[in-house]
Amino acid sequence: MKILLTMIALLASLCSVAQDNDAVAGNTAAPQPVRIAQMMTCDPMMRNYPYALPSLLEELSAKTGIKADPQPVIIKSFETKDILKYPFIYVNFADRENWELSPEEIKNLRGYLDRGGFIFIDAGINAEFLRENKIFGQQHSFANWQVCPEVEKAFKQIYPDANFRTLKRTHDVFHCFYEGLPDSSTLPDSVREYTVNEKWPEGTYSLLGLSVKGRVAVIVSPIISMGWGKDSFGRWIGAINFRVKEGVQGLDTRLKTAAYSGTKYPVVREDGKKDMVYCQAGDIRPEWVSEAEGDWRVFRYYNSTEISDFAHVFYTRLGINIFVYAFTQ
Amino acid sequence: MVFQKEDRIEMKKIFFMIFFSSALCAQQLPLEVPKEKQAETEDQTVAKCVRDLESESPLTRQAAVLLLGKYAGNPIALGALIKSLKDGNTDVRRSALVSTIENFSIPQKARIPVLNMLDDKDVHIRRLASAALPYAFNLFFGNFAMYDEAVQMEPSLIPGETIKKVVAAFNDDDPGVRKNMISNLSCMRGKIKLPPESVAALLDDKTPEIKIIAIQNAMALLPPDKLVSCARKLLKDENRLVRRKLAETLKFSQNSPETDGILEKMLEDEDPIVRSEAITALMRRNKMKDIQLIEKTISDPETDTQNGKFIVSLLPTIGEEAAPLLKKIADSGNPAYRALALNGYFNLKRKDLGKNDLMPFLDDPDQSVRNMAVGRIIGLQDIDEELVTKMVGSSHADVRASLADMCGRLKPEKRDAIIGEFLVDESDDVRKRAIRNAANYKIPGYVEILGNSLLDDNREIVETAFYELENLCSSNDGAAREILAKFAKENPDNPLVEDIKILTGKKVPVKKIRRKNIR
Repeated sequence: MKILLTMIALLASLCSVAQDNDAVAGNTAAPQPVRIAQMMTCDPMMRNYPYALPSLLEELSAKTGIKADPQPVIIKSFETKDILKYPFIYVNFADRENWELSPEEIKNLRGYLDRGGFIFIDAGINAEFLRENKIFGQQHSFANWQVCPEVEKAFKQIYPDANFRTLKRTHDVFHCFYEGLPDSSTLPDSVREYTVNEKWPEGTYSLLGLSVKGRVAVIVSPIISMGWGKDSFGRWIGAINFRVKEGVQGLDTRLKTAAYSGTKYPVVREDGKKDMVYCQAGDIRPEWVSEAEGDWRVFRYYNSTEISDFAHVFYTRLGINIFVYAFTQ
Repeated sequence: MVFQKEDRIEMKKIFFMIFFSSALCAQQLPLEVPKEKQAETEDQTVAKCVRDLESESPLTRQAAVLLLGKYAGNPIALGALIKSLKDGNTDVRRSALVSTIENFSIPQKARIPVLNMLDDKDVHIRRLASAALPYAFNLFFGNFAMYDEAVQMEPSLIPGETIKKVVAAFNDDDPGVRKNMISNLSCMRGKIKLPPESVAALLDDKTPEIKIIAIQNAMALLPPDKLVSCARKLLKDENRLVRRKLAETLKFSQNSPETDGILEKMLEDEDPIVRSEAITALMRRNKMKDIQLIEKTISDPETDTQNGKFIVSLLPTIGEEAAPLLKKIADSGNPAYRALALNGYFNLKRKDLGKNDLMPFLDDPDQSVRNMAVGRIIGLQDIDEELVTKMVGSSHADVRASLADMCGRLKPEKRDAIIGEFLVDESDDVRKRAIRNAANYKIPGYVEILGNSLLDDNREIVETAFYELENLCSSNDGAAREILAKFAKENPDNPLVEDIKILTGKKVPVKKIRRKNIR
């Protein structure tokens, strides 16, 4: 209720500002929808998931009180003062080739964020083994609990004393509009249990935030826009393969001595404990894991439509939550 | 083609890098560590798992198939997984199925067993099996490791019993299975024949999304009479997306009085997109004469712009009756359609088109509209004084630039005067064209004009002028050489000087000179 009231107040203020401006111009037209900026240095035709943001913005307008123009304004650099016109800037990490910020960009971004602007960096978190090529980070939502070094370095230039911090499961961004997971009743038991309890508990996700003057002004996530695109008939664009961990009684015994032809990686979890992930040669996907608690489980990859649809709905709800959070915090 | 094991591993790695779009969510920052000594060999691990499959405990058997999936290239592991697809326990079968298909491919030997799971009593198994159809039917779906053994599944290789299961799955109780089946229909083309009643059932599905996919993928498979009866029912569907898909699909269907009738019914639809799709379909068939309805549809802000453009571009096919509407749109309609409408209008009126029809559009604020008018002016037999005066005095540089290009059609005195005027035009584009034409028509003092243009602020103009002087030098034009030599002397620091020295001094063939300083 509180959130709803805040949103209504925000929209009312936006409308009043627009009306004031219109009055000056002698125009009584309806207020314009909010315009979002999308930052990229690549050719817009070559951007990653081109349908994603317009689809999400349409969904945002349809499901919330925020009316957004579905076509984002493309900006090529943070050097332009025009960024101050847009309350929200979306960046896919891979759409900006070089994350070295120019002095003008540092100055502009500081001014933008200090004045209440918001930046969401998608795919700005990915595991080290995915960093060899930015494309890998477009295809894996590998939930590492650390932003990419390039992003970290860029924002250290703007705010030397600020650090990206994990947004806890109780954070408003996970509850401000949608709360909890989408209907998971269509999922197979093993997938549902893992998703509900471990992968996305209560609809949360691995997000990191940077606070500016007491508010979260930058959010970074593993790739989520892969789940946003819809075609003109409302069908999801692209299938999402879904990774879960599965284990049954007796599997421990076999996995402890099982042959593997690739490498194994120590991994640090959200709780700070370490797991060991095993791979087979020629496959960049992890195959099984020895967990800190002593359990052994295999990674399973589900290529199934209803599971892919579930993931699409989840990523879209998460995207909407990020927008609503940015506009209402 | 046979690949070595190392090649397969490399190719498999590349494949996963390119195609793997998984929601990988291990929580960590991995650091590679040296591989430790193997506890056992692959054969030993596989043998243990195969032995476990004989256990009476479903959990032990499930554990075995979970692990066997990690050795998918091993023939013994594959054989054991295929056997487990028939296990009496649902969890074991499901785990075995995921293990068999999770690598974006299904080995040849496993394809029929996977298809046979389409009638499994467990709905999740049927969903997984139906989602995996592209891997089961396709020759090669990304799996490099299987490349050398892959053969496209021939219809004769599919047992009749399996075909029955595949066909029956199109009408499965579960909407998820039905959706997968109809979505993957194209991969079964030529191998599975879907009976009309199955298609009709899908077109009448309770789930709108399934109807939409069925309209797109399967409706054309119906015999004409069945297609018409299904389409008649669909045009009353309560979901507008279903009706939109129907209209879009009928647009490309075969002409028949029955489908024309359905499209005519769609003209009454409440949804503007359905109406506009129906209009374009009927216009393509030359069956649309209701100008008022066309006008209403393209004026509707909800009409998709692309569809609107398509309708406007087809309007001339109606004939003279469409001319007033085309003129109206060209004069004051939607900016997205105006140029198209004007083009259509000009096409209809091409025999009687005169300067008075064209001149008003030279002042239009929309450049694409002005371009349409200029394009027609070029085609006029006579460009008279009034027209020339209007174009010379136009506030739009593109109109003046067009005149600069067509001034060769004017009398020499008029032509030279216009080029002279355009040489000092405020627009770089107009000046560039004027310089080119000054050289082409050798207007009085043209060599000096070219020489002076070498100091222009605009890089393209300098380049154009230098190019023309080069050409003159190559035909041994003494005046051009003199001008260039004078320019080099007066502007020793100009980057062109190096090239000018080559041109004027050594008489090197012009084409061999690289104009690096200005390119």
